[in-house]
Amino acid sequence: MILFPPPTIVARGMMRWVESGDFVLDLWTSLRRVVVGFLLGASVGVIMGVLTGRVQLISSLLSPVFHILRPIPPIAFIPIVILWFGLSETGKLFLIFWGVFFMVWISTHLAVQNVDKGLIKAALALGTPERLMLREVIFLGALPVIMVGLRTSVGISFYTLVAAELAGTVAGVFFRIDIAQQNLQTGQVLGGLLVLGLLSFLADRAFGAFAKRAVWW
Amino acid sequence: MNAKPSADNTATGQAVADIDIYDLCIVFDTPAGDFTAVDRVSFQARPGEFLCLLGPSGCGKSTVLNAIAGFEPPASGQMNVLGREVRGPGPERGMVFQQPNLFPWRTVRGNIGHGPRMAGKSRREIKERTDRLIEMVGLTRFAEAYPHMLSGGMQQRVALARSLANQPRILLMDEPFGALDAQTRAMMQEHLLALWAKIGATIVFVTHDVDEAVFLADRVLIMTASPGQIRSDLTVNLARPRDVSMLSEPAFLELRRTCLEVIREESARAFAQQGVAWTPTS
Repeated sequence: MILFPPPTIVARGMMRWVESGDFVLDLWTSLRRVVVGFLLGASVGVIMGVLTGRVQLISSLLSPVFHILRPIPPIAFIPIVILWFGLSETGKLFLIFWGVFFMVWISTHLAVQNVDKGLIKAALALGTPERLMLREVIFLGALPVIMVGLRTSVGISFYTLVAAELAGTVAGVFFRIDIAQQNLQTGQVLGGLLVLGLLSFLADRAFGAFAKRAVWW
Repeated sequence: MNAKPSADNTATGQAVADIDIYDLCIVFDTPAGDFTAVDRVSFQARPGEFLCLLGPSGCGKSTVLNAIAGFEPPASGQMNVLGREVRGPGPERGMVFQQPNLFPWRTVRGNIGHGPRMAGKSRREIKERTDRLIEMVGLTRFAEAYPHMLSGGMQQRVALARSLANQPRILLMDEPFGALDAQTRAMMQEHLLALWAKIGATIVFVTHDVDEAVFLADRVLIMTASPGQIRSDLTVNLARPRDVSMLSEPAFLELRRTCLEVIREESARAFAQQGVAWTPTS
C-alpha cells in the first residue's frame, strides 16, 4: 500500500491536494518558474546564437566558454545557486534559464551557420544589403531549426524545474512531491508525478502548435 | 580568338561592350595548393547579346559567371561590367542558378518582389512589376502559392522572374535548366528566348549541353577542361525567333557538330597535357 498505492489512494491524495488549495498555488508557482525561466533562456539563447553564428569575433570569444559550461548539469549548480541567490525565486529562474539557454544557443548558432548558402547568394545577387540580410534571409532560413531547439528546451525547462524546486522552496509541484514522500503519502507522490508529466506533455504540444504557426510556409 | 566587335572598344578607351573581360585568372586556395580554375579568359559581350559559355563539367565556366556576378574575386586580369570594375554582387546583374533558390517563406509574388523591395521601391511599383512578371512567366494562378507547392520548372520560372524584377541590364544564368527534365527543359529554352526578346538584356548563359548552347546563343564560347581557357568563339548565325523546328535544320546541325568536335578535341588535349606541360601560370 505504501510503495504501490492503488489508483483510489492516488485519487484521494489528489483530492486532498486540490481541496487544501495547495494545488493551485503549486501549479501557479511551478508554471511561472517554467514560463519565465524558459522565456529568459530562450530569448538570450536566440540572441547569443545569432551573434556567435554571424560574428566570428564574438564566436571566438564566447563559444569556447559556452562549450565548457554547457555540459555541466543544472542540478550541480544548486549549492552555488543557494549561496548566490539564497532561497529566492531568482535562484530557481537561474537554474531553468541555465538549462534552456545552452540548448537554444547551440541550436540557434548551428541553424544560423547552416542557412542554405544558395539563398544567401540569391539574396546578394538581388541586391539585398548586408544590414537587411539577417532579417530577410538568415533569421527566417534558420527559424525551422531554431524552433526544434526551442521545443527540446520546453522539455528541458521541466527537467530543470525539478532541480530548481530541490533548491529550497515553499511551493511548487515537485516541492509537493518531495514533501509527500517525506510524509510517506505515496499516493500524492504518484499524483504529483502524473501532474508533472501532463504539464510537460501539454506544454510540448502547445509549443508544437505555436511552432507550426511561426514557421508558416 | 576574340570576336570581331571587340576591336572598336579600345580606340576610344571607352567600353561599348556590356561585359569586357581581359586576361581573367581565378585561383582557388586549396589544401593541395593553389588551383587555377580560370586561366587568362578574355571575351566581350555587346549590349543585348546572348552569349553561351559551353564546356565540360569542372572547366571553370561557372567560376567565370560567378566572377561577373561579383561572388568570385579575380586573381588577376580586368573585368569591366557596364563600364565599371566588378566589386561585388549588384542588382544590375541578375543571376539565375541551377537551383531555384527561392525563399521558401515567401509566396511567388513575395519572391519576385524581393529585389524591388530591397531597392526601396514603392508598394505600387512593386505590385506593378510583380504583376507584369508573374504574367510574363505564366504563373498568374500561382501568384500566392509558396515555392514548395510548385514544380521544378515553375520554381525556375519564378527564379527567372525574380531576377528580372530588378530590371537588370545583364542576366547571368548558371545551368538554369540543368536540373529539369528534358521536356520541361525544352519548353524553358523557348520561354527564355521569348522573354529575352521582350527585355533585351545581355545574357551570359553557362551550360554543358551543346544543343542548348547553339539553340539559345548568338555566340558560343567553348572552354577547355580545367584550367578553364576559352578555345573557340563561334557565332551562331541562325534566324530568330527560333523554335524546336530549328533543331533539325542543316545549319543548326553543322554548328552543333563543330561544337562537339571542339569540345572533344580540347578536352582530349587537356587530358593529355595534364601533368606534362600544362602547369598554369597566373
